[in-house]
Amino acid sequence: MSNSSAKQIICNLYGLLMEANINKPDVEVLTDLNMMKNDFVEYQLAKFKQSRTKYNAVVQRNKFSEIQLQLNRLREVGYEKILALFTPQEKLQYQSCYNKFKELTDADEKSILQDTELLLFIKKIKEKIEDNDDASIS
Amino acid sequence: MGTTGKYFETNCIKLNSINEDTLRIIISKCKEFIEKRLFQKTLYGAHTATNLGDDPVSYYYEDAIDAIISGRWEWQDKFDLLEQLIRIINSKITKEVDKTQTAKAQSLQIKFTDNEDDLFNCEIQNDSEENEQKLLCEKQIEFIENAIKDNKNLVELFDLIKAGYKRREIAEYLGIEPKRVDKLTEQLKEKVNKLKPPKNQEL
Repeated sequence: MSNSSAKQIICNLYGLLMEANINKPDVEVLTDLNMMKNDFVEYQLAKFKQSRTKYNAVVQRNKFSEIQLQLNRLREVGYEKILALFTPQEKLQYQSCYNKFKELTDADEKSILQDTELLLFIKKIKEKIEDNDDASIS
Repeated sequence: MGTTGKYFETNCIKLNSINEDTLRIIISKCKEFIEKRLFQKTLYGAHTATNLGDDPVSYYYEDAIDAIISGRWEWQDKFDLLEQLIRIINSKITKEVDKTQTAKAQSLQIKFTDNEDDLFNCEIQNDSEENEQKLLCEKQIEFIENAIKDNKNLVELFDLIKAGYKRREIAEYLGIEPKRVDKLTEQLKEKVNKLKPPKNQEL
C-alpha cells in the first residue's frame, strides 16, 4: 500500500462517515441526545437563544433611532406644512394618526415601534415630503 | 457581537420555525461534521486552537450560526438549516486554510465548491507534517482492518472504501439502500472505537 493511497482511503472513509452523520434519521439523533446529555449541544442551544435576543435588541434599537431621526426631521418641517401635503380624503383617513403624531411625547416615542398604524403614517409623510421635494417644503 | 446583515429579517423568519429539538439535532450533526471534516488537522496548521483562538469545533460552528442569526449570510430557500450551516462551515474552513497556506501548498489546497459531490470531500492538506499524516493513516488502516476482520459485511464495505467507491456506488454494488450503507459505516465506526484506538485514530 503506498503512502498516498493510505491517505486517500482514510479520506474516503471520513467522507462516508460525514455522509452517514448528515443522513442519520433525526429521531435517532434525538434519542441519542435524550439518552446521554451532550454538553456542547446544550451550551450551543443556550447561546443560540442569547444571540437571537441580543441581535433582536440591536435591531429594535436601530429602528428606534431611525424613527427618532425621522420624527425630528418631520418636526423641523412643521405640522401645518405636512398637513398641506395631504388631500382632503387622506386627511380624513389619517386624522387619528395625525393627532397622535402631533401630540407625541418622549414616552410615546419609546413605544412607537409597536404602533404599526402610526409607523405607516410616518412613512406616508416621508414619502409625501420626498414626492414634493423642495417645491413646497423647505 | 457585530451588527446585523442584510438577510437578518428573512433569516429571522426562517429561524422562528425551528424548534428546540430540531436545533439540538442540527447542532449535534454540525459538531460531528466538523470533527470529521477536520480529522487529524487540529494538531497543527490552520485549524489548531492556537491559530483559531478557540476550540476548532466551537469556532467553526459558532461562526456559521452567527452568520445566519445576524443575517450576514443568506439562508437560501433551497437549503434547510443544517445544509446551509454546513456550506458556511466548509467555506470558512477553506478560508482559514487559504490564510495559512504557503504559496507552494496553495496549489494543492481544498477549494470550496457548492457541489453535492464535493460536500463530503475531506482531502488531506499537503503540509510540512505530511509524512507524519501518512504514517498515521497507515496505522489507522491497520487498526481498522484488525478491528473488523471477523465481520464479513464490514470487510466488504472497507474493501469498497479502499477502492474509492462513494456512498451511492457502494449501495449499488451491494444491492442495498444508501441508508443501509450509512448503518454499515456506523457499525464500522463503533467496532473500531470499541477497541479504543489512540485518540488521533478514533472514528
